[in-house]
Amino acid sequence: MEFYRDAFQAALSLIAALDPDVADALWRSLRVASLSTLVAGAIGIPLGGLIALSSFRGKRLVISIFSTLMALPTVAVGLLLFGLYTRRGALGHLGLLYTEPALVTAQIALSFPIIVRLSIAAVAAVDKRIPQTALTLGASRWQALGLTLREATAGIAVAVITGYGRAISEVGAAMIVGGNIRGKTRTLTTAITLETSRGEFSLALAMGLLLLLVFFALNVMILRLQERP
Amino acid sequence: MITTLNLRKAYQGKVVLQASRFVARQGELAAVVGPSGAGKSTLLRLLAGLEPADQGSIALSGSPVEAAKLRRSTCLVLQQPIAFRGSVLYNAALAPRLLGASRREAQRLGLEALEQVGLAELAKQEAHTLSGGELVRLSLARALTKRPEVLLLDEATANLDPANVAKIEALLLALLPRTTMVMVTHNLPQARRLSRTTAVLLDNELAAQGPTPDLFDTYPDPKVRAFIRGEMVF
Repeated sequence: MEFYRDAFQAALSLIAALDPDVADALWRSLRVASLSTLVAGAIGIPLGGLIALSSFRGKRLVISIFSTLMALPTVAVGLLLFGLYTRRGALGHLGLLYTEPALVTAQIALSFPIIVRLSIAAVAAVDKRIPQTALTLGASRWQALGLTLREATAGIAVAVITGYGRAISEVGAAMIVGGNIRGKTRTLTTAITLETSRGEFSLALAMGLLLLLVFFALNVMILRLQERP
Repeated sequence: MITTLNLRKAYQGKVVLQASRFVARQGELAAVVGPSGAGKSTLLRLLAGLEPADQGSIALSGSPVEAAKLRRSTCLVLQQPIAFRGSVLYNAALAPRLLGASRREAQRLGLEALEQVGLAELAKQEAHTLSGGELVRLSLARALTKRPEVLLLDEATANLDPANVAKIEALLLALLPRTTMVMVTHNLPQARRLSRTTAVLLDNELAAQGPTPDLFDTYPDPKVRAFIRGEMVF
């Protein structure tokens, strides 16, 4: 119990004092996860909606593939991207390895399938009369998709929150393509890994609590937005 | 005026509709009657451009048109209409917004339509809180703001109490001279009250269409007559 009490106290003092290194890692975590969720959502939500509303051969297979990719191991994603970004890799010339954009792409790869799959589920749950009514009122296919997504707001919010959660909490890919470089690619989760390996368990747990608190605040904000008419 | 020519639709090899020639003339209401599963709703969905026909064509004012043009020129009121999330006015103003009108203009048209259907006082209310009758009236208002050439009604008054049926029928009659309508109904007296012509679908085929009094009183085909008299066993 002492361990947890110390961790909790350390978390409180971390928030109160906000050590510059921790603040930097926290800010990077938020920035990278937000950007990756934004990109994954901007493509994944309409794509999920389109898949849900369309009838085509192999639809079940496509949905199964996205369901499977939800369980993509973060380390595997890190290794795949490492292969691409390393100097001799296909995208080596871009110089992305150990940079923040590399972290963003890794997190997109992880959150995208989640956002697509959960958006498919959210849109599939919308009454079929919604897109039909939209079309008969004169909507184009895209407008009908937009109106259907609007009806699925609650489910889509869950898709975004889950995708964001996956992005901000992942560590395997960030370690491999980011390298955990202080002031450059260190996120809160890679910092937690580092402190754990150093034996600073209370500090590591405190940073974990800090991450949870921030994520909680974001969830509250999203739910508030979702409740607005 | 909307007409079909040799229309055919099948799902997974099973023919669900064959309509050689169905006509709804300008400013008239054409009723479509028939037993459940005879293809009435399919006919409306084809006329609304929500599904393509496998064969045949649909013409508006004599010119054959594609599904996209049908979607722009008609409006289908579903048997069980559904409201979009938002206020009654949001719903009523939706069609003009989708078609490019400014928010202000769309709201003006929406309010005008709500007044026509007697829902103006509920404009700010959440649409999901409306009763069944009010929802049908809202869906009519929503359709009117689109100003369709042809209004398609799929059992618009089914599941409504007689008072609400009377309200909707009065509204349709008031709109009739300006709008062509096709109304699918199970309510034969209603078809007789409102329509100039009636079409009968039997066994997924357009079995007859003619002036409503003739069809109800003197139509020679024994099968059609049996259906109209309620003598057909299903």
